[in-house]
Amino acid sequence: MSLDIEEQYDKIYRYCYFKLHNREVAEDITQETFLRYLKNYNCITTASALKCLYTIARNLCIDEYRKPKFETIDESILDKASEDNMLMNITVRMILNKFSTEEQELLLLRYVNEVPISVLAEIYGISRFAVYRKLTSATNKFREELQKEDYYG
Amino acid sequence: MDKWKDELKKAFDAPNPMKKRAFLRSIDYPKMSIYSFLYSQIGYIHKWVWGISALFFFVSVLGSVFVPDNAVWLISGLTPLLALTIISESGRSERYKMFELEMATRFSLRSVTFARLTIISIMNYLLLLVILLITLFINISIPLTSSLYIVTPFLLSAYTGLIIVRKFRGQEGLFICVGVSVGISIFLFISHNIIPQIYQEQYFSLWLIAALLLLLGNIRQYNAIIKQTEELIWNLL
Repeated sequence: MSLDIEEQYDKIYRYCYFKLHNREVAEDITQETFLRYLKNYNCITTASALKCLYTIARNLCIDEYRKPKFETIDESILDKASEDNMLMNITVRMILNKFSTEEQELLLLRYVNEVPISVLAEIYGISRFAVYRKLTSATNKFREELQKEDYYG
Repeated sequence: MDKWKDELKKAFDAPNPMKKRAFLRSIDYPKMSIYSFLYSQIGYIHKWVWGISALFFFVSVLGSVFVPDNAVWLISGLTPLLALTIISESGRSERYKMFELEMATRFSLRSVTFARLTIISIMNYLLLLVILLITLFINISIPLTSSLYIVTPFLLSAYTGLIIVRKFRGQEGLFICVGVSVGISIFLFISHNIIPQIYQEQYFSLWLIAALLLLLGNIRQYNAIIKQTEELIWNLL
């Protein structure tokens, strides 16, 4: 049945922000995603609702790339209050910058937005095994990089 | 939680959305939970579905009490008729030519079909479980393995029925299903006299394999029906 729209709003917004790095545009795209999603009752009421939502968001973000570039400011870093947090955050971000966009997206969707592996397989059009393999590889790489940075203290 | 997951979440943190509240207030979306939706659908299931289920229950209990020696065969023979309740609901909208109207309703036909099939399936499986427990409780002499002789015909009827309603649209499909279910019922009523060897202990593993395969087949057909409902929606556009 229908998803918890309120909960999904934050997740889709986070996903769009990751793709677009602009708060305003990310929020506009998030809202457009939901409007299109809600127009499609088949989307709302099926088991593939989550897939629908992410597919719409993804396509809208791709459309946004194609438009003339906007100014990108990484606001989340500027928003951080504590300097320590900011430094830690920058370190992790630097690590993530070594990853391909696809790997970053996969980590975000799976571990931050908690999208099930079966839905990820549907979104990417690959098998669940392939998703699992990619995730394991990205996760191991991320943990190794954290260890290299002596992150675990 | 692992520390690295925590860090990952922080790294992907986004600034708080500014227009979320206003947006959520402005849109109209189904705020009904899945449980309230399923509950709302119970009232729309045909009364004869409940009637058949109740009849099945009482006849089975009476059979267990009054003809304990033949209780398994009696219940086994009745299960195909119980399976008809699932089959009849799967093609109801098409039989009454209500597709177009149902497309325009608040919930899609697909979700309604899905909800009703789920409700009836859960009800039937629970009913079978209760009947099995009652039968085995009343007739301690009946081996536990006999439960397969009740569950397998039910799964077989549901499986063949779901295939038929997918292939034959409308009233015709339902008539064929009734015919097949009655056929399976008759076969089960007489099979333990004509070919009792199929119920011998040595064939238990075959019954078990058949039941498992039919269960998988049912799940597959169930998904296929839900998918087909979606395809039919596209055909109407």
